[in-house]
Amino acid sequence: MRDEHLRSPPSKTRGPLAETDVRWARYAALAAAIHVLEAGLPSPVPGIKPGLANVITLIVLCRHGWTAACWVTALRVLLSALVLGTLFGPTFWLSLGGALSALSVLGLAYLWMTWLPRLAPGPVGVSVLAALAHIQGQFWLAYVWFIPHPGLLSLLPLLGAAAVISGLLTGLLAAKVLERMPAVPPALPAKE
Amino acid sequence: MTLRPIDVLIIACAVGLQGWLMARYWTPSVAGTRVRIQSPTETQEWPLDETRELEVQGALGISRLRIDDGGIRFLDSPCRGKVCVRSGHLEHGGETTACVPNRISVQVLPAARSDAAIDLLHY
Repeated sequence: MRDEHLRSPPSKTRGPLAETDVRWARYAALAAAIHVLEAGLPSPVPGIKPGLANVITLIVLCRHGWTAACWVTALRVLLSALVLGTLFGPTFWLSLGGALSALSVLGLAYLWMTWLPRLAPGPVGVSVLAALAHIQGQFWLAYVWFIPHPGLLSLLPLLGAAAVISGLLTGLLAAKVLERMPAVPPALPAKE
Repeated sequence: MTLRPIDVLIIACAVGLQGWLMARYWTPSVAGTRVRIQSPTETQEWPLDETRELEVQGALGISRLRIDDGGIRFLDSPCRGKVCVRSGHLEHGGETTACVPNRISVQVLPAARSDAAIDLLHY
């Protein structure tokens, strides 16, 4: 075979790592699809949308931990921006800002869930916290970077209320889906 | 699926926070009567009911401000982004703007000592 040398040699990293890569990529693809579909829905107020892609983030957080949730979210933001044509535009940075802010809160919530499992919040509580963090991150990024006008502050209660509602909705959906999912396969690598 | 007590507490706190934000941000704002302008060298206060143009020396150069119609605006500033100029006419108590590169800040003071409008939030 002429192109025999082009084939990669069997690598030690293929196996469990590749398996998690594939799993995370699938989650990310699903989340990106939801994100893109949702972008096509009409919204009563610009900037307010249910954020159903976060159902996937929550499921990944509860099943595979924070690192996986970060990967899936980052891939989702990038993928959906590529598909929607908003890459490196204001929408992309707002999306990324909100995602990073929510992920830091999810990180703290994950630590809480790991260290104090009996006193920790379930998916619904975590989702509400993350939704609030998401909107705060987005809002302050928009306020500082795009529209530093005091008038924007009067939108904050409206955006916050929408975040609480969408956080509740997302959390309830994630909890329902988590109930129906089989237990996590044990073949995960120790270090993620 | 069960909601844990901590979930209920989080939801209650989140709803309470939104109520507080509404009370803070949706109360009618008070008209400003005076304006305080801070530059690297001095702090000046002017009434808002007399039309005048001011030239304030900042870190980069001179910023031009205009007081008219019960409010104040930046006309020009030697900064790059012109965020201060774009923030427009300020007339409500508590409203602020600043030319950060030129280190000049402007704060509209309300008639009574009141915090009806927020000038800064910190989390």
